[in-house]
Order: sequence, then structure tokens, then C-alpha cells
Amino acid sequence: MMQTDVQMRKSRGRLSRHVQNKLGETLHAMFDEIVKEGVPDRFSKLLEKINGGKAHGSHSDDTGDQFSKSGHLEASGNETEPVVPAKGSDRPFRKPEDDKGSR
Amino acid sequence: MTLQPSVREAMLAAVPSLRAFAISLSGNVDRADDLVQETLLRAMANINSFQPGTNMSAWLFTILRNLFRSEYRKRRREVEDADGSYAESLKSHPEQHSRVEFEEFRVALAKLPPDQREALLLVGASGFSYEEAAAICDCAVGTIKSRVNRARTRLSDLLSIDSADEFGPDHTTRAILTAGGRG
Repeated sequence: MMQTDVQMRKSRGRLSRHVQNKLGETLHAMFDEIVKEGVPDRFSKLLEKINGGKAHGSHSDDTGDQFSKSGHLEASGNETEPVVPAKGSDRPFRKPEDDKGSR
Repeated sequence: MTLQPSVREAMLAAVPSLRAFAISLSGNVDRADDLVQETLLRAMANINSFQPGTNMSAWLFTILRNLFRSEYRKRRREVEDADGSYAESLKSHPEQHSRVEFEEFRVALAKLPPDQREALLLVGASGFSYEEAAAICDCAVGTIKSRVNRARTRLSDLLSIDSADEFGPDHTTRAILTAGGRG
């Protein structure tokens, strides 16, 4: 009934396919649950607002205010390394379609 | 500032997985959503740095990861939030997996060093290839592979996944595993 650890671990430090699958499935389930929440209004409004420019006035400044109030990321621009990768950096980003099959 | 509709759509489309990454990385929904917001703001402010035709999602993940790292360095002395705020935030959702197991998993995940955690999340959950994850983390592919391996090994130890039918002491994770197998 019980399988032994030896069956589950191929060798020292190397996990069996079975254990890897279990971890992977749990990770995916956890992720899926968040992904299913979709796009919170906060973000769709943010992108819409930016798209419409600041002409809409009344709440066009929420974003910055909310942010500085949160205090979490107050040191914007003060990083020791660049946050946004430079154009032409050789990071090989492919289009999402390219690796659909590999999941 | 005006974004091209296609760019805006691509950003919006990336938000759900970006949030999942941020929440799993930081272990705190509010912090994660602030990270996502700051990521979008940075992305929009630097949209000229984005190379059309390349992977928007990977670009945004890179920005979020860099923001997290820089924030993490500043907060290094703070104790990681492991008070269950993540589980709390999901309680109202009707379609639930076992909260206990997700919470166990999340706590174990939070115990991993950040570089291992991010590697595992990128490759094991976000669907990036090793090459893409290496690009996002600005390191060698071999480094990502070894971080993912170490992360898996550590997680399986923390969660006591040693036998075929067991995942923790109470076997209740089966529900998650079954649910995780869909789609």
C-alpha cells in the first residue's frame, strides 16, 4: 500500500516525476484560482484612464496619490538596477503564441 | 499619454497572470496589487522601450520581478507576511479548493529564497520556458534550472511529499490535485 521513499526519489537531491507532477499541479491550481479572478477594476480603469489622457480631470490623479499613500513603492526610480529592460537588450522574448504548446 | 489599443489589450490580458505571479511571490494580495499597478505605470511610462512583436507578458513580468527585488532589498529586515492574508482574501470565492492545502503550500513557498521562488513560479506556474525565465531574471538558463530544482526539492521536503498518496499528514490535498488536473 505505502510506497517507499526510494521509489519516489530517484537519487539524492533529484525528485521523481511523480513528486514534480504533484508540485506542478498544486502550483497551477493555486495560480488558476487567482487568474480566474480576471482583471480587477482598479487595473482596467487605470489603463482606460491613461488611454483617455488627463483631460477627464476629476479622478485622473488617483493613481499617483493612491500609490504614494500605500507607501510600498515610494522610492520609485531609486533602484540600483534598471527596472524596465532597455530596448534592444538581448533578452529573447518570444511572442506568447510561440510556446503555447510547451505547457 | 495614449496607448495603442493593441498594446493596451496586451497589457490587460497579462494582468491576471501578473497578479498570480505577484501574489505568489509576495504572499500578500495588497502588496501584490500595488506591485502590479506600479508595473503597469512603469510599463506605460516606458512603452517606447517595448519592442513591438516581442512578448508583452514577459516584458511586464520582468518589470514586476525587478520592482519586487528592489522592494525586497529595502524590506529585507521585515518579517515575511505569513498571517494568512492571502487565504483570507480568497475566502469569498464560491469555487474553492481546500484553503488549508493552499495555505500550507503558500507558507512553504514563502520559505524559499526569493530567487528559487521566482524561478519556480515562472517556469512551474506562469508557463514560461527556461529560456524566457532566464531572460526575465537576467541570468543563465542553467542557473534557472538549478534554482527550479532546488525549489522543488525544498518544497517537497517542507510539504513532506514522500509517498505516492500522501501530501502532508492528512491526505486532503487530493482534492486540489484532482482539481488541478483539469484543462
